[in-house]
Amino acid sequence: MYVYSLGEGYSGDLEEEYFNIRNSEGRWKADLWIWRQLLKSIPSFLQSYLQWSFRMFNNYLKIAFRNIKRHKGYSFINISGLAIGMACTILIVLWIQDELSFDQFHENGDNLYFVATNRLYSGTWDIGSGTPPAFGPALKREYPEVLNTARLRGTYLAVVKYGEKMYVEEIQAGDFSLLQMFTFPLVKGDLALALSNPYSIILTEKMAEKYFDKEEPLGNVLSIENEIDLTVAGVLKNMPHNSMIGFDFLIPIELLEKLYNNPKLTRTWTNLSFQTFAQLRENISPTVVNEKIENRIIEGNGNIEQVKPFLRKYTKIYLFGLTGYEGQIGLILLFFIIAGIILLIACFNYMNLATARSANRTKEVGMRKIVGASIKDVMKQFFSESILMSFISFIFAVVLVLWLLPAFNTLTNKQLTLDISNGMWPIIGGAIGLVILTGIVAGSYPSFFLSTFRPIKILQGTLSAGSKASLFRKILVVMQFTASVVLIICTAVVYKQFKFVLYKDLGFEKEQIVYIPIKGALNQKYNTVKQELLADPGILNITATHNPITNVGWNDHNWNWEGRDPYTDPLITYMFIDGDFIETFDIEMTKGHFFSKKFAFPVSENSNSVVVNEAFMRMMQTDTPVGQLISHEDDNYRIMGVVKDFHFKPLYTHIEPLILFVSPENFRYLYIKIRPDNIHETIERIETVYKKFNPAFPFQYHFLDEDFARLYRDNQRIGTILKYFAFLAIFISCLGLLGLASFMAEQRTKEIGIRRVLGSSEMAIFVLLIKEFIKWVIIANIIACPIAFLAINGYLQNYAYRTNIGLNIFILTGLLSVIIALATVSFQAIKAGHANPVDALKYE
Amino acid sequence: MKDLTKPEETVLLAILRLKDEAYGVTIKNQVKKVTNREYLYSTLYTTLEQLVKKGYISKRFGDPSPERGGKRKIFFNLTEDGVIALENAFFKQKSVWAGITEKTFRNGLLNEG
Repeated sequence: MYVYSLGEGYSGDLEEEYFNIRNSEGRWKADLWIWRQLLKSIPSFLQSYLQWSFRMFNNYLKIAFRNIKRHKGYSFINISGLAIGMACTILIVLWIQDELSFDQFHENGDNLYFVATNRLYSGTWDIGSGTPPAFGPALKREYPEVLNTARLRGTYLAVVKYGEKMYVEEIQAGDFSLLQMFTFPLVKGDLALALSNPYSIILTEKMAEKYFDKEEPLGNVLSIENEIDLTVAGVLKNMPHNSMIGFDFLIPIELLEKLYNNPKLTRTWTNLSFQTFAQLRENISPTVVNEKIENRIIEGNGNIEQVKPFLRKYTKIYLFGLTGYEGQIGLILLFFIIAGIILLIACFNYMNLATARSANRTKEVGMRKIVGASIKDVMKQFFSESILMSFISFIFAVVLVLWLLPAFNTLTNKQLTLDISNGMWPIIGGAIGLVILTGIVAGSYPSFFLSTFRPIKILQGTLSAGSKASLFRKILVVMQFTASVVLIICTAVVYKQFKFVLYKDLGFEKEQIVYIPIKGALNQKYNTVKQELLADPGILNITATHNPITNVGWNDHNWNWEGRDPYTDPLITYMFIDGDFIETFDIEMTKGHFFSKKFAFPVSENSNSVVVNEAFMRMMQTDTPVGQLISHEDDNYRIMGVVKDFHFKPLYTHIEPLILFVSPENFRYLYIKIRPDNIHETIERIETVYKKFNPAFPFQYHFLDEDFARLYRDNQRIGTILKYFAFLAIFISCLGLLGLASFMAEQRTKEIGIRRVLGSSEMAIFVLLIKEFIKWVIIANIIACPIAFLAINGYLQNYAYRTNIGLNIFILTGLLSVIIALATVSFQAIKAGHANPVDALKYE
Repeated sequence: MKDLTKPEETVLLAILRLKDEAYGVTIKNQVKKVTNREYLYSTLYTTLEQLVKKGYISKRFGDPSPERGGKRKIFFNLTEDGVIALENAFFKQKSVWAGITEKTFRNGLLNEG
């Protein structure tokens, strides 16, 4: 500042004049004067300051450009490292932005709540998301704080038909008040009208186009499941992707009674398969309402089950889950951290290279200091260089992002774009922020390091690179490799777990099994269809169940057996099957026997026998369950046999007790075991039979093992993402290693030359140079192991069934990292060893 | 030798007239008296700093006073170089404006040849 030396005079003058004016014209005028003085002086102050800064800045830029051109190799390494780091950050920020935007578009967002429950299940309280259907209307009727409620029931796969067009669609059933509460606008139709007609259906624009083409959808009739005809009462704008609830088709919830043939379905207090949403009036706090409604469900269900509802803010659920501790926020934080780590690694590279090469710049720094540059000036210079580098990398990063965006979208199942439509300023601001942040972080160490050189020492030639500096450099490289190794280990484990889960013995045979949902007429004609199919040479066996064997969901309380602990009333899962069940799936019986072949073709009376699994037997705490009685409500059943435990739920949960019944009315899925050859023809034949008996419904088949893989698709995705991150981390670390290696080789040319002259072989030189790097990599591995171990444990907690984490993984990763490091530096090392010592020592 | 800028010239002249009494407040008032322009302290001090750097004026400290909050005054005096600069400026001005009097403007420039 140019008024530093005159500062005392300046401020003194101000005070003196202020004093004078105050005395002559009064306090008010004096204060006014002072303000005018200060405000007016800002422009000229800035001008003089900026003028000089601008001049210096030009010089810094010029030198920076020259440096970049002169050392193209190093510059390339720096720029690519930074560009990759920045590209990652940008992609992840885009992803995070999208995730954060979920559900934020609802107008009533402040007052929308989801009803979650606290349930007493087998002695412990658990959080659930299901409420009884009677609760919604009761909420609205009985509590003035509640403005509106809506119920929603999960996806129902149904056949939708219009004229010639017939497809299986996912239909959701709910109260149309959903559309009043949530911002899902209708582009056609009137909500009030839709509300008044119990036989109406609302669909999205996409679906309207699918079925009606250019025709006017309103007023047309769609046939659902060949059972009910519904009039199109409204067309919704297509669902945004960032919404937790969404539907292609919405039908009034009461219609479920017809579809399930259960006239009281939407009025009971005991069925917990519905979701309830509530909109409170303005400024009503949910805690007040929570207190009031806490016991309402228990009241309603006559104290059969302990279910306590509470309100959870809808806009928070996607990120924070029902409890506030789950939800996507964990993943978001994780990715944010990973992006930060990768960017840091890239910055470390820059730091390392810049300080390592500082030996080449010492003379320049010395000269600058001598002609009057202060430490701050030198720092400014190096920061300008790093920011310039950062800016250039940013441009490459943007190109990278544009190129990778489609692949990234497939990977994460989103539609992210780098679009400007939401306003240029936040994007430009973000971009500038990123460039400057990276520049400052990357340039921080070199700036501080280089600016503190003593000019005299430099010009005298006595300044060495300093051992403190090389220690720091070593630490940086070790940290880079540690991060990389951790990422690699985590990726390996995620993949291992995925494979484990995929190939684990589930207790039943899932290969070669095709399944078909049972719809329409197929239910009644089960026996006939089965007989005809069994006659087919390509088909080995057939059975049927009511829930998919991979996820059996029906359960109930109130089971009684001898010796049951009267203080617990566990929720036990049950399954309906037919006599061919264990043969089709190759499940073993451990005690007693299965349902006889008589029940391969079920007769209409219920058998009084059941089969239980080993877990059930353990729960009964007996070794001889066969012959014992179980009762449920009014019915008694005799245990006929015990089946070996098999996984009827995803591997996240332990195998629970299970009861197997025969009950043909409840068959929903037909499982066909087919021969492994000529699969295609077999399926075609199955289709013919199906069409013969059930022409009104489209033929749909699935392979059980494919389904299975799909269940764990999320894990696969996480694994793939981790894989890419690990690769990136290692790549950038290697870039750094490469730069460092070349530099060190360069620095030590004289030393190497002398060693060669004194008789050292090329190999010895090679080993000499390699030794250093290998040491670092090994240290990195040692540090990485405990970190990785913690991370892995955390991840595997999610699974009740885990793969082994042997020592193998750590050792293999260690070897891998050493090999990679070796590969990176050996080229430089070989070159150094190979060099002609004469060239090195020519100038001595 | 480079020419003096307008503010530099004005301030130097003010200091010339004020002799030993030239410090921030007095310079400012002097300039106001002569040119009817009220300099801001920021411009004034920037100019003063430039002049010091160029070596045309020198500064010395005065006594602190309570009206100044206990701060000292900084007095400015012309140096030899400063006098020479002013002299040069005077003669240059003279040759550039040579022959032009009040009459030139009163009779209207358009009537001259």
